[in-house]
Amino acid sequence: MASSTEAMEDGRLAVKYELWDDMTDQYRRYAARIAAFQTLAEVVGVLPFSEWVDRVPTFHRKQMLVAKIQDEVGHGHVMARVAEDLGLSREQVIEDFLDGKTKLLSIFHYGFDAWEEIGPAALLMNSAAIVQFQSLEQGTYLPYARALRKIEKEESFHYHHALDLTHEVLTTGTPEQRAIVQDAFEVWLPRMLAYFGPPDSDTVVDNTMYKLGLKVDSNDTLRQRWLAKIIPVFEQLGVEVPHDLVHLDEDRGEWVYATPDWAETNAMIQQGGPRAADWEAMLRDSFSRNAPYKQAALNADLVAV
Amino acid sequence: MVTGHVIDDGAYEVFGQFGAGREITYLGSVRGRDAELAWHAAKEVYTRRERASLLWVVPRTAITSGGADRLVTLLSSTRMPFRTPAYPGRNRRNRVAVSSEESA
Repeated sequence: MASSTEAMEDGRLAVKYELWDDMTDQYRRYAARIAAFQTLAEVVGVLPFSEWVDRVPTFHRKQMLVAKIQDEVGHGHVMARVAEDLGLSREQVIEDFLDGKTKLLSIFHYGFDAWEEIGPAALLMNSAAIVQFQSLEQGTYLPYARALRKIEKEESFHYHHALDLTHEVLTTGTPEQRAIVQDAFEVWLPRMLAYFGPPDSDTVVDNTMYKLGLKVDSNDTLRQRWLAKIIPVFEQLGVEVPHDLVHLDEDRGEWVYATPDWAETNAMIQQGGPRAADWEAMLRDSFSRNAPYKQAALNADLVAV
Repeated sequence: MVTGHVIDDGAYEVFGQFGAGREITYLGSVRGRDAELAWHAAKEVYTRRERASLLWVVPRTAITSGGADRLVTLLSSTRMPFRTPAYPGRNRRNRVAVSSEESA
């Protein structure tokens, strides 16, 4: 919170923009970029979950998973509108990705190997998204901030679903199933730490997104805020939190964690992680397969009567 | 017409009410071939969690907006303070009653 307050004081977030306000070309470009970036994250972020729809063990979990998937696609639509109003079409966002012009964050390069893994992994992801959105919604571009607030309500449902799924496996599962939850926590925690981006350096204030007030808090601030929120949740669930993975330094009031391997993270972003090629293929396939329907939904001239 | 830098790409603005009698609020926008499809898109995207009692879609081009240069005319509370409820009572506290002798 401290850094948000400081940001208010330094005036970086004082001037807010609506679509029709005068803004520099640079601001417009960066606002479009942050919305496009999130459009892509929402659309690709759904694929690791959607491939599980046919393998969900119970009907009510399947209903909730499908609802979550629909939500995420809806978030893609909401964010795409923000980008489109700034002159960047949703088709362009997808095409830029398929052409390799935009890269996915490393967190979107993975998939799930087991049903029991989904609860803890989604719990880490959803809580991180909520912490991040609560920060970003203080930013200077108001249509983006409003879109985030709409999205957050649904993220809260995803969070509670993931929490309940983790609890169910830990409470009623076999020792093998509980071990998968424990392993998933230890595997996905470092991935999520990397999700928040490289550690702050002295140049953080020179970051353009930050200077324009589109990015509100620094990466390390958000990482600390997220750990403070989510680690106690896992402890409460009965997951063992290994000391060398993450712990609270009581004296400094700061979380200490195993530093993500940034070289490996960057290499993955450039070259693609374990499932990146699958997600890209799915998106490419869906993009071409659904093109006629999309045309019909958006363009009256092409509808067969 | 909406003025300024708004790009009109067939967007529909979405408004909704969540609970009869409550205010109708702006929710966001969708794209659609026509109003009917836009309404369905809005239903899917914007009424997922709360029980909506009303959902409107309006073509963006149907909106009339004064534009930034006319914003000042909307500032009635500072431009025309005599319209505000506090204005008539402003001097009441310090008002000295006229004695009955004086008024006679």
